[in-house]
Amino acid sequence: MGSRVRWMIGTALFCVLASGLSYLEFLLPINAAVPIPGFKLGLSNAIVLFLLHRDRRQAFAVLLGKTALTALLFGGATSFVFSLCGALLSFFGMLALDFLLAEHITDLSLSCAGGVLHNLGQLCAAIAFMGGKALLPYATPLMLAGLCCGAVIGLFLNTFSERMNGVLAKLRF
Amino acid sequence: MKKAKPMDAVLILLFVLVSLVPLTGLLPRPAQSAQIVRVTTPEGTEEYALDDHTIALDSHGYHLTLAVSADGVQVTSSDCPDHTCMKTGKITRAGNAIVCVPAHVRVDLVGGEGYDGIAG
Ligand SMILES: [Zn+2]
Repeated sequence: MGSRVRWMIGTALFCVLASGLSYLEFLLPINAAVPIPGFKLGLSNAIVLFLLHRDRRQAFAVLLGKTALTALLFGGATSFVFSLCGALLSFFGMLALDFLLAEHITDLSLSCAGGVLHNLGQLCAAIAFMGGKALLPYATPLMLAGLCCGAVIGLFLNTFSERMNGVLAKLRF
Repeated sequence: MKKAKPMDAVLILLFVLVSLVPLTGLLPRPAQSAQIVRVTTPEGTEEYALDDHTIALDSHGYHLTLAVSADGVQVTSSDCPDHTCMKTGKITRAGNAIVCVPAHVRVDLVGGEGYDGIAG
């Protein structure tokens, strides 16, 4: 199997996996527990961040693919734009931090950055589209909630990344 | 298994602080100093300086008393039916207003001349 084909298959599989996590979130009654409109756990960010250390291009491809797929399956055009803004801000924020501070930080703070920035980007897009500051009161709760989820995902990655890389190596990915 | 590093804690603290920034947008704006009380009735508009005095108004068959002080103005008595003007309480910021609909009275606090352009 050519390396390019392998790369594409890997990307597609991770896209499906990430969308699956988004779907799982969609099924969970999260808004009952955290009553902030627009709040998501961001579980699929675990995959994007995991890939960021392995192959940045693949991580970015999965990010775009998963955002598009999720919007296609259970969102609309507006929600696609919002989540795309959040996803891009989160991705490039994590990329920059990883680039600048790779030796000094772990996935814990990278994932927290992702969580905060994803919600921030989404919110900025919503404010830009709908105009007005009616959404401003949600900013701090959203970002703090994103931070908490990001922390949990980051701790998960700190704990299991090496093992997952080992498994993937065995599968020759 | 990776252990978190000190810089992780620093960054997370930073993110918490960043998350709190939008709250500052919710704080009340620093009061723009009001300079003048402008009272509008069907008979016309009068302006008064912000110092301690009372203004008696007869308008549209009702009688209102305004108490002006250095920091604002309020309607202290009125024989209008709804007393909404009195319930408004004291206004202290430029741009704020008290309205008495039955008496056709409007009381505005306006900034000084230098502020008029931004007082919107
Ligand atoms: Zn009144």
